[in-house]
Amino acid sequence: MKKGIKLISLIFALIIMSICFTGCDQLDAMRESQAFWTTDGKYDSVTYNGTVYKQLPTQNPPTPFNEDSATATQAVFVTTSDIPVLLSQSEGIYMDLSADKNFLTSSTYSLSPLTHPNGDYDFLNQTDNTIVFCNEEIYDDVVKQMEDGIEYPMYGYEYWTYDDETGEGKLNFYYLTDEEIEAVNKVIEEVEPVEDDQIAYNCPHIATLQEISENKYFSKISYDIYEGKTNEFYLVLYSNTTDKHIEYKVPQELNDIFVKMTQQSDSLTKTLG
Amino acid sequence: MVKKLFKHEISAYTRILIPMHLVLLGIALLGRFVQLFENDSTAYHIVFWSSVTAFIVGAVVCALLTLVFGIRRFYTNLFTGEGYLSFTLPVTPTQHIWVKNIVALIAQLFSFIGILLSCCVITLGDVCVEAFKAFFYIVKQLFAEYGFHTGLYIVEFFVTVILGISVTYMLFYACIALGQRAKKNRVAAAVGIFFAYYVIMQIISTIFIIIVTVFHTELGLDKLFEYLSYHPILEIHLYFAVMIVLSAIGMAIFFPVTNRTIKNRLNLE
Repeated sequence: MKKGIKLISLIFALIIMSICFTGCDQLDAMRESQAFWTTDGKYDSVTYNGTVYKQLPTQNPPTPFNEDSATATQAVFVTTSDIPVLLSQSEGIYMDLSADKNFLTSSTYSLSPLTHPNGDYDFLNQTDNTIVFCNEEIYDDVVKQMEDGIEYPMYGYEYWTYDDETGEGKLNFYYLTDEEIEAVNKVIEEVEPVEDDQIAYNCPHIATLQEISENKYFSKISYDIYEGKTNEFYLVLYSNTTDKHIEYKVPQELNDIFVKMTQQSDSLTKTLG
Repeated sequence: MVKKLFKHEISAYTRILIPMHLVLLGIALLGRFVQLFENDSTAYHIVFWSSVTAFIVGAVVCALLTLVFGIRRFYTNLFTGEGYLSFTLPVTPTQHIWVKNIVALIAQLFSFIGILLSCCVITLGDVCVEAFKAFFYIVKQLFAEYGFHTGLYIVEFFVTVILGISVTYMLFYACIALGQRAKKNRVAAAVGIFFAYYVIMQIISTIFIIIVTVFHTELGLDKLFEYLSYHPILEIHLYFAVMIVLSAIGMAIFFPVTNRTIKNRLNLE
């Protein structure tokens, strides 16, 4: 009897101990998304998974490029070292980690005095809406590139494809060929634009071009491609100053190139705009 | 004699509450055991959330049963056949009421501790450790923000909770005691008195809110709220002070009603 009780107690104790050593998937996910300010009290450098990210100079930081904007970025919450993991998402600063894990991007809204009531962060010199932290391994190259002026020689756009069987959508990225890039540049340089909203409000939207740096670190939103009612194409850009759209009509001789360029877009996307 | 009364009251509670809390601990242990098989399958999610739901229901039942048992204990021990024995003891009605109130309060507090322990069991391991870290971090932040006032807030909080629980029991005691004045259906009369009290309190609260809303300027409340908005530390102290005063007023009303009824109007079944 006593041996039986001892055995049962031992088994019970082993079960309790094994429970103590098991983790929790959600807790592990929170730990994976927690990053830390490299030095507590200073907000110019972040350490995440052993990689140090340094803040890029704040004047107009470039936008990091992501081929898949829908899922590529990973949410990261940056905290001081004393904040426990369960409070990381409420106390931490939210940032997006780029797909190539080279850049952390945050908006100054999330770094506002609302989240830093003690005024630890210097907001006086912020002139843009985003703050970008760069992997220290490529930091010097990126800063030099910014100083020299980032060039965006490549173009590309995102488009959706759908699986007919499952109905699931997948976001893809298409890089324009040299011929297509040349065609786009030719339209912008040689065609006289019209300031009008007719095309933007009445015609189907095909794709939004992104200009991409050669090393694929950075991108910026460029022209929208619209298809007119008689199968002509337009490059359209919205002007903040005039609150109107600037429309470039693609010349007839370049139409075939634009047809080929935009055929990646699913027909449903074309219809929906 | 009062010591013996305490002893018997406590043993009456432990006979019910300890098995109840052991069952809750068992549910918590089972829930934690389920988490050993954590994966993304639908079957696991169904079993996991079922175990969590069972635990939450169990915890609520434990807390409620403690309250119900405390009220029932007062009723059966003083107003049914048991009352004939209770009132032959060399103990005054005041002592009877306070012994029952204090033991009910202790039982309720131990019930909360039991539920907290069960929460620790169901999150045993990594999650429990991180939860404690988060809790102590929040306390540290409160001390950093409010200094010694945090200590005062903690004391005021416990006083508010203890008084609140005590007054709640005393309210039920008063309803039961007044219900005994009915010739028939005394329990129903006690329930009716409780609902009448609730309705009256709602009416008083509504009138109070209307007066405050309409005459807030004349009553100087605008200036008070503006002053408090610049003094958040004082605001929290004032909140606790108001709660404690309201509880004390409740106690000052319910205890004499219960005591007087038992002393002068006792009519056992």
